Amino acid sequence: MLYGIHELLQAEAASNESRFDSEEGGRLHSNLPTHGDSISYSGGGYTSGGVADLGIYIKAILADNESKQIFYFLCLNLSFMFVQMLYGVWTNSLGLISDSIHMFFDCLALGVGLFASVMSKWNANRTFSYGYNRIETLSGFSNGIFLSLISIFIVIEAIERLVHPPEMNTHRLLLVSFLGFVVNMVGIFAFNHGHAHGHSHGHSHGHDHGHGHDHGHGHNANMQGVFLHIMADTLGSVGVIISTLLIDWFGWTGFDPIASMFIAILIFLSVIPLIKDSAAVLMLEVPDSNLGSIEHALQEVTNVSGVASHSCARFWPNSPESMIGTIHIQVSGDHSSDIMAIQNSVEQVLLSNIPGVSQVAVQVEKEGPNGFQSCFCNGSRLRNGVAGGIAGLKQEGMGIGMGMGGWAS
Amino acid sequence: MNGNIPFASSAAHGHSQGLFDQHQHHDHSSHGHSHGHDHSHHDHSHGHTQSHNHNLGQTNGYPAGGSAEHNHDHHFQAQGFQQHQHDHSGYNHSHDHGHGHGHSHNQEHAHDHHAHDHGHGHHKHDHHAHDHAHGHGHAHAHGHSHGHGHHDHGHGHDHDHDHHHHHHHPVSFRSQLPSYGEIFGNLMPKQKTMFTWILVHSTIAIFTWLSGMRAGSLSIIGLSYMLLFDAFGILNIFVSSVIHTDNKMKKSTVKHPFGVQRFEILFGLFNAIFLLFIGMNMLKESLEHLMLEDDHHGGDYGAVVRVPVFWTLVALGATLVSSLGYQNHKQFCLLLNANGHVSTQAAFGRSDSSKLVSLASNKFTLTSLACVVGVLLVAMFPKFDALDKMIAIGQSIVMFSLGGPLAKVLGMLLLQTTPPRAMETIEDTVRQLSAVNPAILRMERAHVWTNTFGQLIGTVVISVAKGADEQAILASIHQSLAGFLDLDAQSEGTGELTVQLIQN
Repeated sequence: MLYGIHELLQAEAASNESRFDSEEGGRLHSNLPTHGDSISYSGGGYTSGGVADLGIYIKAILADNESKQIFYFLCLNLSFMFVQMLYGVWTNSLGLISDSIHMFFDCLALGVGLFASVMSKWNANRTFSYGYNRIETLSGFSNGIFLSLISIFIVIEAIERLVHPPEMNTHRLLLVSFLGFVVNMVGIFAFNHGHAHGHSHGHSHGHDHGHGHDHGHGHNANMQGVFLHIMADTLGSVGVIISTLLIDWFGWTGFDPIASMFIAILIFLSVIPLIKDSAAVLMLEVPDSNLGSIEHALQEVTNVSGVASHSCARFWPNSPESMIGTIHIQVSGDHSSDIMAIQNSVEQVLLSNIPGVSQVAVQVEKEGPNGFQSCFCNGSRLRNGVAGGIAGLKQEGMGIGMGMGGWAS
Repeated sequence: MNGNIPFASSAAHGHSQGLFDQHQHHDHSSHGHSHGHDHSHHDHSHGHTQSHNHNLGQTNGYPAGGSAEHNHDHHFQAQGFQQHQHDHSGYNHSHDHGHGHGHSHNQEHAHDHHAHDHGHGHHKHDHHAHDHAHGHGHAHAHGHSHGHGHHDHGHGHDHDHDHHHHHHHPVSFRSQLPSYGEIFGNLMPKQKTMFTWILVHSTIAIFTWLSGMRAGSLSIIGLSYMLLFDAFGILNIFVSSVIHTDNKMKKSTVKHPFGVQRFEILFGLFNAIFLLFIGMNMLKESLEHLMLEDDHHGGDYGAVVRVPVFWTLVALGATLVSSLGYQNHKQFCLLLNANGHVSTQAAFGRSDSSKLVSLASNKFTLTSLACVVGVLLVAMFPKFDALDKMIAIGQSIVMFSLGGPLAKVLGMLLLQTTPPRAMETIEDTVRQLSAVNPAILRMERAHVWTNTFGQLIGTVVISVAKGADEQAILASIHQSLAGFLDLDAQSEGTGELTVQLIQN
């Protein structure tokens, strides 16, 4: 059933571009699946058209635990925002209105998170040939950058307010921030629940890789980003409550910028790991914990009978949990008859030795005069076999001479 | 004890710590002293700030425990020796050096490193490269001490290599990326100028911002944000230039299968997000101020704006220098204009249009110029209160319209999507080949994605008939896609293609 919804969702997505009022969502949206696949992926037939698309979206959102949580919280946030906005306009209070604007930006972030969470389940297509897994990482990264920029700006603003203390009007501030705090606490508890859930999932999950459908929450950059966003807001509300009380007691308005500065720094520090991790995946950087297994697997590949060497080994993370790889192997001339068997066993070696690898492509090259070899002396494509050392010397010698050129000119 | 270090523990220590640091750890636990020193080593490979840390640790630790440090060194070398069972002389050598210099620890390590090399024919050349960099650092100044310190990086790596070769236990490769210290030590004069200009540009942005704050003018603040964005743009060019100058960065390792070229795209995305963020910020501020003005007429914010014309003109100059001198944001423009075209290296290599023409077609520079014009408009009509806010809103809208598409294009690159028309090109190629050679049955699946500006990576799975001449098929596919993917086995950072043939 889930599968069917995804399919439908995918088909619908192209025609309804701005269903979600999130700017980032809108941006990512416009290049969505065109279903003229002549190369058929796992997809079946698509039926689109007369179904009420909003219902489908909501169904798809509710089908998944993560997106359900985000969705409910988004609804809560949106309604709170509207109440605040209306009340602010009615009482002509700038504080309330500006807080609701702030809330709106939060909703945008949530919308992006929701969108990424739903989208990451879509199937691969021509444009997204490796699937949509990475979208959650991208959303986590963007959310992280946003949060860090926000906290930097808050610090600057706080310094400015320390230097030039503005007229502060604590009137009704307490009530608003308390309500905001309650709303955000709901969010935090909802997400914490999700965390606990994710862990139990993660354990049962260890063995069926290759699916890439469920993720442990601990590694999900998207959820982490959303969670940090909510946490930032909650801390903000707490800060306002405490500083308002302090200002009322001591009469010094400096408590407010100090509190916001403190919270901004806290948020900034907690966002850094998120940015680092998601940036590593986006940079196709292999996590340190996988390096050993990849090297081991490559070693095993050269032990497969018939394989003389390998080159162009590329194993990169597709999402924090899954990897994709390509490799070229060179088969010695006398083994040329059983190339398919060699190819299969190399594939098996790689799939079984590297955790999380879901796809491997092996290019089999033959050694000898009538064989084709795509990689000779390029450093990275250096053959990693017996002749490796010599080729390495040659290559480095070339490397030193080059070096100008590029973008500077 | 050392032999039992599991590779997992080196991973747990994070990014850039390998066996070398592990040794340090062990020493550390057996000798209580030279605490600060150890730590400084630890921090080494992390980056700029830490390298400062390192220096600090040294100055603190050195006078207190000079002899203790030597001890410590001894110990370390002895351990290393036990473990590797070779290179006796090498270690002694390095050790002596350390003594003789009585200098910073860094140097010892650099030598250590060098000595280590001699043991391994395989890596000799690699080491020469290191050496080279090292010499450079020396020549520059003493101030470049981080440069030396960061040699640990390479050193650790070699250790790992050793293990790999000796099969003691599986230890991970670490990246051979040069450290920040090395990068800054080895900048070309042109790059140094560029970096200085980035600092100047950002300083101008900050002063413009301060003057805008003092004047209470949102349009000037918007201009200053735009200036900061321009400065980031130059920083992006600088980063690209550094990456493309050093082949080591483009080289594939297990850690970085496609080099670190992709960082220029990631940084570009940061720029785009920054643009969106400041757009949002400006919109929020100006809406708030407009409302405030409605509330209390003639309040604080309603006061006449006194535009600091001086800073506006400086800002204009900086924008022109950046766009004419460095063709700021050129990559972004090419990327946005390349819609529908598959962009290979050639498109990004150089532009043949004149600088003025490329300035006129550069939306980003034009936006900065428009911001300057807006501020001057505000200066011309000081009586018109709301003009400042309206121009600020206009600025924020332009920022959205620039940042949105840019973030989308860069996001698509980061998502490893197929560039427009790339799939069709590959399909056509395979179809043509199969018309000539009936042994090629069909294309099962294909992936083409962009690693960085102009570098395409392809994977094609093709089913062939039983008994087909696979090597000939491989050769023909590689040959006919060589132009499209810019396949060039002789240089780093060019396209790559993997063709898997299957028989059903």
